[in-house]
Amino acid sequence: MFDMDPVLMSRLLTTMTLLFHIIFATLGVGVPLFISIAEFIGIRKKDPHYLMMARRWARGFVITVAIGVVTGTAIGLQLSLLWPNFMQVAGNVISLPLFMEVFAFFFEAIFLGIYLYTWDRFKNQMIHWAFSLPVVIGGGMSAVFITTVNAFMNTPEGFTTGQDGFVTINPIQAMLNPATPTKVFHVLASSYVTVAAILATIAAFSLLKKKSSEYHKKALKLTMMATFIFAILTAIAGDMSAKFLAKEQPEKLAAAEWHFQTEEGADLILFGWLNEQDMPVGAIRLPGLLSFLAHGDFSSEVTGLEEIPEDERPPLWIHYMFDLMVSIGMALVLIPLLYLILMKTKKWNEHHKWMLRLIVLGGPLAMLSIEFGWIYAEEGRQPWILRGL
Amino acid sequence: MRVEEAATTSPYVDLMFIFFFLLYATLATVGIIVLRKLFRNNPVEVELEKKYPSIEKGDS
Ligand code: HEM
Repeated sequence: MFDMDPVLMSRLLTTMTLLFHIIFATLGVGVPLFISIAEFIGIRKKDPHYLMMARRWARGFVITVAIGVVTGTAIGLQLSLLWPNFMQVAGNVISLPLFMEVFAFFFEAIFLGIYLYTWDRFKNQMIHWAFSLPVVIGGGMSAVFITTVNAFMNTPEGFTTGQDGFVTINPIQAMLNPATPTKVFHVLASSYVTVAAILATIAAFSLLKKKSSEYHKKALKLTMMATFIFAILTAIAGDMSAKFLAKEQPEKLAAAEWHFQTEEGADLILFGWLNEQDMPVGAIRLPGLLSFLAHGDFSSEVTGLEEIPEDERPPLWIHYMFDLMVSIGMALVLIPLLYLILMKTKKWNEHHKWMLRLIVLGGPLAMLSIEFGWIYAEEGRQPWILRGL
Repeated sequence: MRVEEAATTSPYVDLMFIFFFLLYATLATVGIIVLRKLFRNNPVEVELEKKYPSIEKGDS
């Protein structure tokens, strides 16, 4: 039409769709967990505030699910229309997890419908609560299945290649490829921390506007404790992801860390920029920490980019994506930690104006971190769509 | 398989880009408007009193 390169336009369109879709996908995975927790506490404590939380979160959730259906359909469509040669080759392998992802989503959607329409219908409130469990599980499982597909693009396994593409396909082995465990863990943990942080943002924002609402104070306490726990799990999962990369996909780690020469006791380089000789300047250097991140040992050897053929190296700007993701990850541990300290210390006030303002920032930052994480993971796979094949 | 080997050769992807951009912009706008309406017109204090009248006033 406008004479743009179809490859470039396909990449841009896919990027735009994924950046938009991931917001709703993340909410779709995480929100049900918090609906379920809130209703459970509400029933056990006989506290209407928590029951109201579950109701209101569920009500808002429906809107985001509806948008997620549209953007998810767009992704499915674009996968086939923009990447036909990829689907022709990989379709034999990934159709199973793709189908299971759709199935898990329907499972989630059907039980969400039942959940929404059966409030106050059961004498035993726990029966209603039980209907939230398939929603939580369905959301989690759709993340698991779709993440196996992404993992497969990074470390394809479970087939032999013959004359015309893949033969002797083992789709289960393909789903359980080396990238799957750490990716699934990191995707789930980061979804839960992001939703916890966003719900905390809403509570803190409401408290800033109208002070002393018991409802919002309870919501804030619940979501802050969840943010703290899931932020720690996200960081642990991220650390495991880095160790996976060091072993199986070293170019993605090396490009992100501006690690050019293979060496022992490698420093971790934070931010900064590259001069004409591709030397990092203006960066913070943490001695030995890259070796520790890569292998759990400060003096271990980390593969540098020099060992990767030049036309197989990912772009170096992903350094910033990685650093921003990790920085936000640290903030998501520290903000709730500060809140919890203020809460536990009698003469301090955890609802101080500045504490609340900090918490308000947390939700948007967490969602940004999801975007940075995906940009890093996807750009770090370049130039491959199926790595190494 | 490299990314450029996998992509379509259709010359209409740029048109599709514009179409999808408008779709997402619409979705985002409508989504935000609906969510705001949903919660602005139904504040939690009012809803708590309606659903759980047993709750003490000023306690919400
Ligand atoms: C705190 C320390 C963190 C570390 C060390 C870390 C590390 C990593 C690594 C190594 C990857 C690439 C994995 C791969 O391509 O196989 C990754 C991807 C990703 N990160 Fe993080 N991360 C951290 C925090 C976060 C936070 C806070 C979020 C979001 C709230 C996040 C969201 C993501 C997402 C969505 C991806 C793409 C999915 C994936 O490949 O697993 N990360 N992270």
